[in-house]
Amino acid sequence: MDNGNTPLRATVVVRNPKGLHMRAAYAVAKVAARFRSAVTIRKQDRAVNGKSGVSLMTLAAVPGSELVLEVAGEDAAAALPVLAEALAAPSADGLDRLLH
Amino acid sequence: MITLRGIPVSAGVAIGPALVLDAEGVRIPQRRVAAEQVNGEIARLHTALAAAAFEANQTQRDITSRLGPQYGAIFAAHALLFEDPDFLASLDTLVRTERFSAEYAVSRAVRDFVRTFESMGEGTFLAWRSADLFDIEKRILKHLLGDRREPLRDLREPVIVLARDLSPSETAALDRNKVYAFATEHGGRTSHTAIMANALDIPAVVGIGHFLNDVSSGDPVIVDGGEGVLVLDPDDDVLAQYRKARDARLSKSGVWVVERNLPSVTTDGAHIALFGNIEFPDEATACTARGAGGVGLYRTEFLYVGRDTDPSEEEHFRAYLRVIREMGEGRPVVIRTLDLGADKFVAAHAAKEPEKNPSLGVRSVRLCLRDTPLFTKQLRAILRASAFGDVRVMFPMVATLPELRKCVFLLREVMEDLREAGVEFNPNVPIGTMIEVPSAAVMANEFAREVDFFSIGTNDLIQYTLAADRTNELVADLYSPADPAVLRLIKTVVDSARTHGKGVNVCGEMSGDPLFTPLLVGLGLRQLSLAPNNLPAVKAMVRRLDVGDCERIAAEALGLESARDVTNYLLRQRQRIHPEAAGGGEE
Repeated sequence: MDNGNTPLRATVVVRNPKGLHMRAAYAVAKVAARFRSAVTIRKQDRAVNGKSGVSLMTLAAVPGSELVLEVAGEDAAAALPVLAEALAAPSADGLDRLLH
Repeated sequence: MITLRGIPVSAGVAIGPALVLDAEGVRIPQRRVAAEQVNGEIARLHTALAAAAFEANQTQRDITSRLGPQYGAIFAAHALLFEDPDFLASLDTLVRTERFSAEYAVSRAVRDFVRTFESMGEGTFLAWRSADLFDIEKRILKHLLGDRREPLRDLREPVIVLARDLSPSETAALDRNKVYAFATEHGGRTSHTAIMANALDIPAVVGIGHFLNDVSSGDPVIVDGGEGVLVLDPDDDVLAQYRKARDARLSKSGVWVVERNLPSVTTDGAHIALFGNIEFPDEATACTARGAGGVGLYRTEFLYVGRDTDPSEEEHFRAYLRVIREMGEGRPVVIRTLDLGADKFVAAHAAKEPEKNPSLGVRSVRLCLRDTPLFTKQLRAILRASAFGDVRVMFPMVATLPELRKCVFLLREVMEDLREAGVEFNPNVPIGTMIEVPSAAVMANEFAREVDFFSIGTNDLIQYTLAADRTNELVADLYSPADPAVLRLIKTVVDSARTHGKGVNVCGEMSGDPLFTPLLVGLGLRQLSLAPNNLPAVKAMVRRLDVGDCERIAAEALGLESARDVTNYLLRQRQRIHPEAAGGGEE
C-alpha cells in the first residue's frame, strides 16, 4: 500500500517557446503550491523544489528540455497529471484554470 | 588633485562632496548582527518584503492598465518572488544561521540565485532574468534602507553622485535640489541616462573609466559637465576658478527658474507657443517640466536604430501613447515619420551598395516611399494613436509636390484600411510637412495648399542651401543659420503659410538659440519647437520682446549681405533687449 513515500514520476518536455521563463516558472510553482505533496523537478542531475519559481528558473529549461517531475505525498496521484500539464504548457497564459 | 576626462553629456559646473555608489547603486557591506538581534532582523526583513510585494502589485496594476495584462504579468511574477519558499528559506538561513544583516542577506541570496542561473550556461536566454532579480533586490533594499539610509532619496546635504553607472530611471528620479551633478565610469553620449541628465539640467560626465577606487564619499569633487571633466580633491586655486564659473551660471539660471511658469508672451501680448523637440518617450517629462505647450517634433528613429528587426506596429503605438499621455489634454504631439539615411538602417533596408553621397541619397521619406510596408506600419500606429490625443503627423525631407502627394495618399489609404477594420483614429488628423530642402521652401506656396502645417527644419535647410556639411571643419564656416539666403527662404515659407492660413513652426537648432528669437518672431513665427533644455532661455527672451521691434529687426537683417553681418547685428540687438542673456552658451 502506497502511503505517499514512493514518488510518482513523469517525464515532461518543455514546449513553451520561451522556455521555463520567469512567468511560466511562477505559473507552475503556483499550481504546485496547491498540493500538499512534495514536488521535485529534475533536469539532468539538478533537482529543485517545484513550489519555488526562482528555483525552477535556475533549471534554465530552454524549449525542448526534458524534465522529470516527481510528486510524493497523499495527493500525489491527483497532482501528477495537473503538474505535467502545467510544465508542458506552450504558454503561461491560461494556467490559472489548473488552480481550480 | 586628480583631473579625469570623460564624455560631457550635460553642461554646468558643480562643486560638492562626493557620494560614491557601487555597481548596484547601494553599497551593502557584509555585516553580521548579534544573536539577540536576529529576531529583530527577521522582522525587519519581512516588513520590507511585504512592502516590496505591495509595491510590485501596484506596479502590476499600473502597467496592466497602461499596457495590458501581458506586461503587468511580469510584475505579478516579481510579486510572487517575495513569497517564494526557496527564496524565503535562503534568507532565513542567512540571517538565523550566518547572522547576516537583512540587507546583506537579500543581496547575497539574489546573487546566489543569479550565479546558479549563469552557471547553467544558457547565457543569452537568461540574461533578462538576472535583470529581473536585481530589480527585485533593489526594491527590497529600498524598503530596508528606506528609513535609515537611502543614498539618493534621503540626502541631507547636496552631493555629487559618483557611480559605476546610473540607469535612466535612477537618473530620472534624482532630486535636482540634492544632487548637484553626477559622474559615471560607464555610459555614452547617446544613452538615455545622458538624455535624462540633460533634460533635468543636472551637470553630468559619463564614460570616465575606472576612478571609484580613488575617491571616497565626502571627498570634495568638481564636475564640469560642459567640458567633460571630473576633478577629485581639487587644489585651492582650481576650486576658486570653478567656483567663479559655477556662480556665473547659477545667477543666470536663477532668472529662468523664476520665469518657468510665466506665459510665453511678448510685452505687447503676442503669444509665442514654445514646443519641445524630443527623441525618446522619456523626454516628454522634460517638456512638461518646462511648461512646453506640446511636442513640436517627436523623432521616431530611436525605434529603428540599434536592432536587427523592424519595430512592430505595437511598439510604435506604445511609444506614441506614452508621450501623448504624458503631455495630456490640449498639448499637441507632432510625430515625424522615419527620418533615417539608408546607411543608418537595419540590415534589411540598407542600400545594396554604399551610396556615394548619402545626404543626397535614399534617406528619410525617400526611403519610406520605396518601402511602403515599412512606411504604412508606422502610419497605422500614428493614426491609431490619434484616437488618444492631439496627434499630428509630419513628413520629413519632402523635396517635391509629387512626393508630398504620395505620402498623403498613403496616409489616406491607411485611414481607409483602419475604417474598414473598425479601428478608431482621428480622420481629421492634421498633416504637415517639414520644409528642409530648398526646393520645398521655394515651392512653399504650392505646398501650403496641400497640408495643414509646415515645420521648418533649419539644420538641413542650411546644409542644403549653402551646400556645406557643418561637421566638415573646412567648410563649416559656410554653415550658418544667420545666412541671409536662409533667412529669405524662411520668410518665403512663413509668408506662404500665412497666406493660406496654415500653421508654421521652426524646429531646427536655430529655434533653441535666444539670439535668433527676435528675428524669428519678426519674420512672423508664432510657434517654435526646441530642445526642452533651451525652453527657459528662449522664453525669457520672448518675454522681453515687442513684435513691432522684432519686425524691424527682421527687415533690417533681411537686407544684410552676409551671415557675419547678420550675427553681429543680432548680437547688438540682444545686448539691447536682454543684456543678461549675453555670454550664454550660444556663441
